[in-house]
Amino acid sequence: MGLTAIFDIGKSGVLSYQKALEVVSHNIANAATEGYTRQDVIFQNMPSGVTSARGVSGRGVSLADIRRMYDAFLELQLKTESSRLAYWNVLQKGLVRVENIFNDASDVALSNTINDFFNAWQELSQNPAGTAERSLLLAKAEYLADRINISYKSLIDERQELYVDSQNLVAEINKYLDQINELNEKIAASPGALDTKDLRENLVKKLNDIVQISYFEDISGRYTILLGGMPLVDGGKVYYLNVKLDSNQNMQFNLESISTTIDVTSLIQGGKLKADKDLRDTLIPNYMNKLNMFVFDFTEAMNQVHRQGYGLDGSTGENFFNKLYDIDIDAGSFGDIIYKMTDTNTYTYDEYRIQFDGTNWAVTDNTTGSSFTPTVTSWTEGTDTYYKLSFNDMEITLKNPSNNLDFTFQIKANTAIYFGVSITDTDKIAAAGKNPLTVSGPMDNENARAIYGLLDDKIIGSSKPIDYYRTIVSEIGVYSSSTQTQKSFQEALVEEIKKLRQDASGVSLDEEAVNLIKFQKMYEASARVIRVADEILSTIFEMVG
Amino acid sequence: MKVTTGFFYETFLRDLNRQIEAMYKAQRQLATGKRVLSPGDDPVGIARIIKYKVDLSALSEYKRANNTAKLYNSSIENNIENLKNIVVKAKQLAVQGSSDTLSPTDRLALAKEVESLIQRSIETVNTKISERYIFGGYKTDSPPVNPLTGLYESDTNIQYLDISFFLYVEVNLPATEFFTYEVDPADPDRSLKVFTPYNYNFTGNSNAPYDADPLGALLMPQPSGGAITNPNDTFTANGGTLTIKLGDNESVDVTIDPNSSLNNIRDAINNNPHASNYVKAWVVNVKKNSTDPDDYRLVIGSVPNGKSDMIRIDVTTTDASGTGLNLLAYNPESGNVSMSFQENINGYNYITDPTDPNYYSFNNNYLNENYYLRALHFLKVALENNDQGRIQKAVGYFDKIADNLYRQQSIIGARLNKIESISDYNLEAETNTNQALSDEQNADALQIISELNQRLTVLQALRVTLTDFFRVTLFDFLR
Repeated sequence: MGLTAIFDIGKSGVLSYQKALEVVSHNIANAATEGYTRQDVIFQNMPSGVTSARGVSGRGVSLADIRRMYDAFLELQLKTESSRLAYWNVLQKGLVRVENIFNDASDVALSNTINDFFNAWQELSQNPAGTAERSLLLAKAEYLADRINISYKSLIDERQELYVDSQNLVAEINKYLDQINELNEKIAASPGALDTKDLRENLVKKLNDIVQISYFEDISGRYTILLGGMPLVDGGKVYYLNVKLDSNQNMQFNLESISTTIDVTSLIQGGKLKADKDLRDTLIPNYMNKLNMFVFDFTEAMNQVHRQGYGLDGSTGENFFNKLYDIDIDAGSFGDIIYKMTDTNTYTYDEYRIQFDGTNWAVTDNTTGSSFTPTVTSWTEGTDTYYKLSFNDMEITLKNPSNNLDFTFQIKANTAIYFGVSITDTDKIAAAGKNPLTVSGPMDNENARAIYGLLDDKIIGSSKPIDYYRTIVSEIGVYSSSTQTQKSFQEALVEEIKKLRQDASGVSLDEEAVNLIKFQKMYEASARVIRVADEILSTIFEMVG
Repeated sequence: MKVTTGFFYETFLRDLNRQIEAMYKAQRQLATGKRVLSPGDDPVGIARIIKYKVDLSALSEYKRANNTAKLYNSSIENNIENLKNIVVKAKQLAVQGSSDTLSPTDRLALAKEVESLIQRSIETVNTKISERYIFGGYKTDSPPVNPLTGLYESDTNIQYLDISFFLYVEVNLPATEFFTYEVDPADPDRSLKVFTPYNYNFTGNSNAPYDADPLGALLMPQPSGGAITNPNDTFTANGGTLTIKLGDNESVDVTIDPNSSLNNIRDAINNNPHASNYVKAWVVNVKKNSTDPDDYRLVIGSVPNGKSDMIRIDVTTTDASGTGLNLLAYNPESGNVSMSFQENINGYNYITDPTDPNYYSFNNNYLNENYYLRALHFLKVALENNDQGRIQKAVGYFDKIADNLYRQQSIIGARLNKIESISDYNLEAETNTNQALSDEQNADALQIISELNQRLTVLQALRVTLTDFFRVTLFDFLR
């Protein structure tokens, strides 16, 4: 081996350490880059390549590899958990908005409005002929209606907002799919592109935050992205998602595959998109229905009592609030009809046909075509005969139905929107129990007292109005607080995994500083080796010279 | 374990945010004074808070109702007090009028004074408190008592106000309870039925110029077989003849058919052209309280009144002795006496059937002690007509009228008591509910401030350590 070999060894050191310094600098530069995986250089000594029986020293150092400090298991765990975190995060934020709509901790709460309405009746019972009391009552009733309309509209707006949100998320998903597909190709062409892999890893993580996906790497380094088994990115092809509303106004997610469009709504699990879907199509409709039931039963109970009373002008049988159902009588007649929802379900807003032949009742759901056998109870009060039909979470009480009765009815969907005061003339407010013009007198307050008594009556399903309402509020509270807890727990979990990931893949400036110094010193030393070799050569040249 | 710079920052930032978030919430709790800012903060608490708020709102409304009820009932009480004073004055006038030393002109002057008392009483009863006639029913368009006829023209509905959860109180007192009464609007004599002229004859029978009044009359005893509960039931099985004689007048025979009822006998006497010149018969229900069993009797009085003790009735019948027509005998001279002479049939019930032609004439005197206005009017006409007997009688009426007013006052007193105790109860409930609401909803300022301070200290420590930590890195030492 010649003297010049020392130059080579020195050179290999200088070059290797220069590269190592580059990697360290790259690490330092990316200390704050999200999802960046620390890169590490692997050195390798170069063997001499000489066959010899005695010991032969090697020929210096070489860079074996630059490695991403990447732990696939941790990355997967992080993706899964942060996808869950994204779900809880969005859900929690959504619930805070719903909570605000029903916020009864504030002073402008809906329950106050309900109170004010009943108090106005109590006020009227103190002076049933008073114009001021009557006007006040109408104002309070209109305010109550407005307040509920606004709350309900806020829920509708929230749903619309979530739909737009979901559309944006789907657009984002499609963008990420495109980018991942692009990066897949780059990586397949250049397997050593470490930073490209980081980029792709980052995109997969973002995608996973939006919707939970599964993925695997094929031999050529491409990622195949699956949504519940359906491919999104596969073999250089991208299958896009889209979202639209189905007939029930719920969101439907479709996957555009090669030939057909596949409904993948049920495959949307985890992530922001699932949170939006849960909020929009399960949670909010649940509260909308509860509000609808409140409004419907409240209106029916109020109207029933109001119809029995008399206004100052002797009017009777008037509804106080707008009727919240459509009715069409084909044959026969009845004295009065009172509806009550005991719960809501998918068929609540269907059109029903009810027939009575004098002994038997038949109920048909015209929307679905199915028929029911209602549970019938009947009783008499004085000369009046009452029938109560119970079916499909609904109770209908009919007074004196004729034997050939045949009618259809349908409860208005989005009932709470139609909640409004029907009375405009204050004289028609029925505070009196008997006709004040002919039988009793303007000071008759029997009906006003009866209506005030509804405050303490189980008129909403099987609850008193305020109790029903506060159950809603309390339920949202429980939901919101448990979501908050879930979110905090998930946050802690993600944090823990991140810590572990940082341990492997993170950049510590101190560590990099040490490495920088180390490689700098090594570089200097290697340079010194070249100088020594030079000096040795000079010595030999002087001998010759 | 390696702690990387990025992670350190991230963790630090999260801790910082957590502190600031907690401080923001504490700050808001302090600013609003509320512990629960949204339902999620305390779902159970919020349900209670709503309940408390509803209760409080209802309580404050009940407070108003309480005040209204109190206002009405105290003015009812005040006005009854006024009526009592008028009664005292009327009694003085009656005592004065009954004195023998007074001339008819003096009594006429007293009558004028009574007339003004009547008008004052009617004005008192027609008091209106904020749109409401407190002595009327539901009607508000006309005063309850017509000042010209003295008739009650409102309805008798009792109006209630809810003054607490499940509790209500009456806020009016229809004047029919003690003052005057209603008369069917179809009655042709309607306008005369409270302010009835002296000895007015409602029967329209010219042969009976003076309608009898039961100041003194003969009363049939109760049959030994028990009270007669229906005046249309057979009273005499065999019938017979009643020979009626008044003083020195010629006796008159009245024939009673077999199987006649009390009402038949009454009509037989009253329809007999000769007998009705001397006597007048009524069937009255003498039960004292409305809850007592019915007890119908025949009453016979003289025409004109005041001479009933001079009536003699001899009976010819085959009815068993002590039964049937025999019960109507009255002849102290022969010792055949079944009926008894009553100075005053007060205390017996009225003729309860308004279609009875004697309903008003009999009740003319009889209603007085229950009906304030009639008593005053009774005194007035007695004074006008110089009828000392009736003036004397009026003195006794007024004590009873005053009693009745006391009774009404005690009823109102009970109402006021109820209102008072409920308003105390409501006040206590309000205080308790407020306390409970405050416990549930209000922020404990002391605790929050100390928590805020604690967090502030942590926050400052965080900032200091961070700046210290990052002020130097290894690079600083490796120059």
